[in-house]
Amino acid sequence: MLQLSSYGQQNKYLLQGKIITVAGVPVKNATVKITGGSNAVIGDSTGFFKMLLQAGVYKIEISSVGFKTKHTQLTVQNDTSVTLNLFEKNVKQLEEVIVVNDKNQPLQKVATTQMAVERITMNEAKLLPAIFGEVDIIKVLQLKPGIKSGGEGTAGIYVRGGGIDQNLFLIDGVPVYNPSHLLGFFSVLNQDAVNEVEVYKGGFPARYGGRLSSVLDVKMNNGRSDKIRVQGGIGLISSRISIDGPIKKNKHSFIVSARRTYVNLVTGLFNKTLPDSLQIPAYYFYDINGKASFKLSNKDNLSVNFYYGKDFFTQARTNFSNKLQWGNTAASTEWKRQINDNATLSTVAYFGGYQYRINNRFGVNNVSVGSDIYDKSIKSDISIKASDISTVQAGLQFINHRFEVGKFGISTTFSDLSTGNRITGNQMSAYILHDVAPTKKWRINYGLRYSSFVQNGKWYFGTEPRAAIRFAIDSTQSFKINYTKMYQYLHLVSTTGAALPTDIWYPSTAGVKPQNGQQAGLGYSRSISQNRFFINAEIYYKWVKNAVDLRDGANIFLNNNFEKEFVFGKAWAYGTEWYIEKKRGRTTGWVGYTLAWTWRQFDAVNNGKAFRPIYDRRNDISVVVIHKLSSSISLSGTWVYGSGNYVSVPQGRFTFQDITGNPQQIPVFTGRGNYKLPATHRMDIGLTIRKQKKWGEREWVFSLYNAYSRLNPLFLQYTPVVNAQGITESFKPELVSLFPILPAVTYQFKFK
Amino acid sequence: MMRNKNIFLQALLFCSSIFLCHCTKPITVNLPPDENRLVVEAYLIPQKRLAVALQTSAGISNTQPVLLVSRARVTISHNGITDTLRNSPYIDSANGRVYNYSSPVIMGTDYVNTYTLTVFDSTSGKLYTAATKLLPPVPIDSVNHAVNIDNEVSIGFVFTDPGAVNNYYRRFVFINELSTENRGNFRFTDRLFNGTAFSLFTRFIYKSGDSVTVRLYNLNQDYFEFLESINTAEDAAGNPLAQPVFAKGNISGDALGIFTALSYAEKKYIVP
Repeated sequence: MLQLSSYGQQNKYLLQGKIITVAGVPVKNATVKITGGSNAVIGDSTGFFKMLLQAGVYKIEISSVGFKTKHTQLTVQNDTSVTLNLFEKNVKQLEEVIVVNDKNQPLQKVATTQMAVERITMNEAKLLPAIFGEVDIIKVLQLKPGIKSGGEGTAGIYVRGGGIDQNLFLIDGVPVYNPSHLLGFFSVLNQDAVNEVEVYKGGFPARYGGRLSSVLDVKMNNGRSDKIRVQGGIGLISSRISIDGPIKKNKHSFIVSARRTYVNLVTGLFNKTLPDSLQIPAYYFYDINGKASFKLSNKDNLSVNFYYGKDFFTQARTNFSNKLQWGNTAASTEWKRQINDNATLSTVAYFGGYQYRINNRFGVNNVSVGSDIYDKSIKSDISIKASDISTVQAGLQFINHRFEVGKFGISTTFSDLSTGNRITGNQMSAYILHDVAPTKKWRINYGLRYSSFVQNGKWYFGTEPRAAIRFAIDSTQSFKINYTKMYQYLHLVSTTGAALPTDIWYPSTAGVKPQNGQQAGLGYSRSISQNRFFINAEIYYKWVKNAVDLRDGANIFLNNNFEKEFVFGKAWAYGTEWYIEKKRGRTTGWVGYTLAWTWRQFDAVNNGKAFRPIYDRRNDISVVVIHKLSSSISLSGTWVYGSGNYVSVPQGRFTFQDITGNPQQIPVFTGRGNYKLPATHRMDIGLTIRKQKKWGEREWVFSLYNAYSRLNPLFLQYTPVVNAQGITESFKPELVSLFPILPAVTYQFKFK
Repeated sequence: MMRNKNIFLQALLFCSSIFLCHCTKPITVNLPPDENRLVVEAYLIPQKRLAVALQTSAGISNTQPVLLVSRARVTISHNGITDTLRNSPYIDSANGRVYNYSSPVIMGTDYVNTYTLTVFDSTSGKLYTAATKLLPPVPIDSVNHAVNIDNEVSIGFVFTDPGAVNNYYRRFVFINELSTENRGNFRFTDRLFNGTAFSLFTRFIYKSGDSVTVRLYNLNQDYFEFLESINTAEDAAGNPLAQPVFAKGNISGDALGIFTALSYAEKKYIVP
């Protein structure tokens, strides 16, 4: 190994990393050379190398006997950790797997001030088993500490005791208001279109705002600029296809991805043979992603993005029918300009929204219900590297929100009526943040976001300070502390805490104050065993003022005045998260553990007593293991454990005759979150077999969801106990589980 | 009105059933039963006897159908006159409703003055009260019908909503005789059509030759909201997508139930 000058030399940064094969096997004694320069090192027997470089962009050549020589480019702006793949000479190189400046590398995680963040790339997500074989990067995020699922197999997330409405879900910077399909079982993210997702659980940088609990920042793929590629997959319930390639070779590129489920085609065949009374409801969804990237000059890049997705549920009989449709729309354009070597300007304009419609027909009566939210926004961000140790970012954003609330129409032979409220609101924000490392040990990221919201002449203002401090004990371990304050001006009108398509977004108004939340956290990070393992431990406390909930018995249908349904109170959550990850070798994976408490309190709910929401989960454990059996076969497994959710169950009943004289038993609820469901646990197993073909590459992906067929409770239902005369006498509690063991197979392909 | 959460629950279970199954497992819920809360059910209907059903709530898994209250003092006051209802069973023959407190006094028709109920529960020593008013019926202008391609008939009716106040309605459609099956139980408000003529049709479940009676109740708001809340509570007992609801009506204190006065308009129609 080449001896290097001492670490920490003035204005020099450590570039270190590992050379591995695509199967993850270390490449011994590889040569890493700066093209056109004198720097060169030879890696050790574990593939590890390091060198000191001044800040700049470097062309690097990596070579080793028996492997193809690789040329790549690296940007070094601070201590940098990379993983570089070499391909054996007899293996065709189909896809370059390079992780440059990988924020997921342990040393990078230790070095940054940012804590409470999780990053998953789609390449990582694809290695894990998936329900129905449908890879969903959001469900992989649920395996990280502090991020909890809403229930068995669902894609909704609850972050550090925050509600589902407190997540800012961004696709290439555009908010998506209902990011799931099929009542939450699938996210809106098509695996071929997504590059990576970052989730901020706390310590939010000042450039983010608008939600209290998390930011999910999804980056979509740009598409290749060298040649056309077609890839896709055929699964049990859906298929997808993606095309990407150059618009102009090595300059402009595009990608278009589409996905559709086809269960309704099967049920449609059954329905042809079934009588009217037994017709099976039909359901399907589709979504389309697209992106075009243009390199206008050496300094200017322009991209245009869009997403459109829709769900359909239809129940049709002769005398009545229910038709539900819901979906998101997002379109944006981004112009990035490299002003000079140290300054970048990005400007984004977008349009996006969500709408749902329900059309019910019974007899000659047609009833329609709906609601919309649409945003138009422009924002601009500038990043200036003032020096090697100091970076400043600042930005402005304006959003125009338009809400259509309580849309309702009824038409009969003699009447045709409709109603609904249109509400508009404008949100403005500005921020500045400064990331500075005054000494080698200390690094500080502090900033201020100032936001405002105006609706019908009523103004609200929010001052949102942010700060994060890192103290590095050495290059492999650090302590971190942070504090953030956030304002949320939009509220989700939901009676369930789950992500229903009919949940309605409603703005802050004169009668509905914005929610604001503060969070403080303390963490310790460490990279051990030559960057093979990463350990992280954090504690946090979060408190929310003006938390919004709905009064008991709130009516959100056929109601265009939600304000009388809202109640206001407070919420608080605290907990600790522990995480260890193995990043190198044939076997990788992680173990995460969360111990957490979540409370809400409203004077007008639960007799004023604090209660646990359904997403309060005391203990949460996830174990993820990925093992590469060979360069073409990988085996993966996950095991999750979660304490039971708190649900509201009735404790009494009474007989109600009604004026019809037909006695019914009415359950009596006495409080919220009064019963804890049994704990859930589950193991999933996946096997991926990849093979190179003359035409490209194919993959068989086998998955076994819930491998030991544990019947995990999703909810508790009370089934009426009926006597011989057909009269309900009492109720019998039963746990309802959705999925036993579920095998799935998916065929995936990539054409050259 | 529309049970959209039920639709979603159906969708949820439907989707899971496609992908093999959803399973249920009996469980013991170790929670103290909510028992012994007074439950009142009382309807004041012109030309009917004053009558009240009093019971207590039972634990959710208690198999005894009804826990009647026998030691209570019940009065209904109106216009300066107080009638005491004795613990004397009364069955309304028109619909089979059973009351355990009744009076021989017949309810009059007074759209102005308030009716007040008091219940003193001797067992608990608590006093409960409630008040209601009789609203004038809203006349049905006409009854008509529509026929589908299978010659099935939908019954419609037209009425004109009074514009000055918010109205809460309940429609019944009886077939052939009033005491037989009511197929048209439907609740709605005038929010969309306040002060205008409005029509509403049933499903296509009638046939030519049927003799039907359309009845339109003009409900008090608290009764309408009580009905909404108990329907939501029924949904919530087996629906993870529904919100738990406290089915509390207009009785004071911790009692459950409803005390309301009812008026209605009716029109008969023979399907041609």
